[in-house]
Amino acid sequence: MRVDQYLPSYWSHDAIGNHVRQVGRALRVSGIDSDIHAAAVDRRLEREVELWRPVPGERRPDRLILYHLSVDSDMSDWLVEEAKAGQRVLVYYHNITPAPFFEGWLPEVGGGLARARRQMAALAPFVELALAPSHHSLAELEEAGYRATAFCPILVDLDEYYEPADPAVLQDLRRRREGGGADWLFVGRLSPNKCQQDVIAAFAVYRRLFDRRARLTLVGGATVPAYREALVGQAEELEVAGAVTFRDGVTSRELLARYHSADVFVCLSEHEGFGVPLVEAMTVGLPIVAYAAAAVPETVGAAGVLLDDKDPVRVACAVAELLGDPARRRELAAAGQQRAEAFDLDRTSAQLIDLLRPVLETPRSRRKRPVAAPAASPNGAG
Amino acid sequence: MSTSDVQDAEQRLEALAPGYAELARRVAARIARRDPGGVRTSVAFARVVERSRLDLGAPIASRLPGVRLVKGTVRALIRWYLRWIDDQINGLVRALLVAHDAVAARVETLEERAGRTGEQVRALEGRVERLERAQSACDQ
Repeated sequence: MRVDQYLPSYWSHDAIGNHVRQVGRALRVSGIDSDIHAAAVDRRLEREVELWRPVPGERRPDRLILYHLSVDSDMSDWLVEEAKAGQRVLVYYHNITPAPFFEGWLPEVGGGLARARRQMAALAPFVELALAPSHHSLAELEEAGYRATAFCPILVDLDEYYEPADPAVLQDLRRRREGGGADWLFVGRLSPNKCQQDVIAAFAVYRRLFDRRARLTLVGGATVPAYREALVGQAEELEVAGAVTFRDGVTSRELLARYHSADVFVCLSEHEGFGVPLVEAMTVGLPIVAYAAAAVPETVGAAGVLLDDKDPVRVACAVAELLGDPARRRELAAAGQQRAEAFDLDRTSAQLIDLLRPVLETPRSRRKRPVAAPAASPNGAG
Repeated sequence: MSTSDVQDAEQRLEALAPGYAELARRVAARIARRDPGGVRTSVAFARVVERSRLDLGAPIASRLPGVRLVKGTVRALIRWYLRWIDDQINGLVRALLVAHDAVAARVETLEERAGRTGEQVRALEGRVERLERAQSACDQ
């Protein structure tokens, strides 16, 4: 038995790359052979993967392909051909960002995302089982024609967040806090769908209204350079440039230091297929204020302040209210840590294997009915 | 936090920094708008690229027996040729897009800067007006 994972690109410090690595480990621990095949790969990870080429693959009745779907790729068209030739295919759907978010910024990316949606639909009839980490994504799979779907949490090693943070960064951040002022944090690529412009706007209003010494850190690389420039321009225009820090290429230990030294995690994203940084924030007990969009409410559950409106004054007031109420902060931090336990790696790995094993043990010809989707995610989210 | 608390905060901000909340909203909205001034030229070109791929799967259905098979055979036989042409068309369109993007990006940056400057000027005008009103009130 083997399950080979395929994905268009495999990067380090990337939620999908980390998930794929953990899925491979979970499969091997369960006695299921598994390799990773990627069309593009981070040079540091070359030894972990086989470079994919669009040539007919090895077809064995005991081999399944698990394809990680999130962007457009020739790999998807190739999979359709492989499936037609008898290859069994499963999908893990990480979600595709809606193209309109990018059309005004990077049209070619918008075009690629529109193509990814078409490829997702074209692949649907050939997929035995499609998995997704949120009910938001499951609904999209069903809408695209996937008949057999199941909830399967993303695999993330949260034990890393119990390791010591980078001491130099932590010391530096603590020194910065000595002067007073709250620390806002958001972690996620600088990307139009994550709406960092709303975080900056709310932060600017918060500084004027409640805390002139507050600081905001936005951690994440720029998907769209012009969008980053617009955010920098926005901070200048609102006269908060000196209080807003953009950080890219941070190490895990630096990220950990930033989580530990922040007072609040503010997420005003309009599109998240899951939201790994939300789980990271919950793990370290950092309270969350978030806009209730896409999969954010089901990821956060009751462990954060969810807003149905992200007007800057409204968000600033919500943050001020939370930071001014130590009991509420402690309550949310505890709820977050409890919520994060649902994403414990041993637990999520077992859930994945439980979903895959029946598919692996049943030859294709005998699988007459699709696998039924479980009704709810762990911890009652969704 | 209740709606009245938010309204109070809004009024307090207006007293502290007149026009600031509106400025924060306007700048965020400008960034979120993604497509200012209608369809950008680069967006229009991207749509051309998106739609330029030829559909090689011509319909082969037929009510006449055997015709479906003939059509399917013809389609399969010329598929390699059509794909070759399709690749060249796409290559040409993509090359045009790259050239166009270089110009469009420059134009869009200038438009963005001009728009931002316009908003700054309008904000300054408002401020001057308020100061003039305050001054004349003092004079009286």
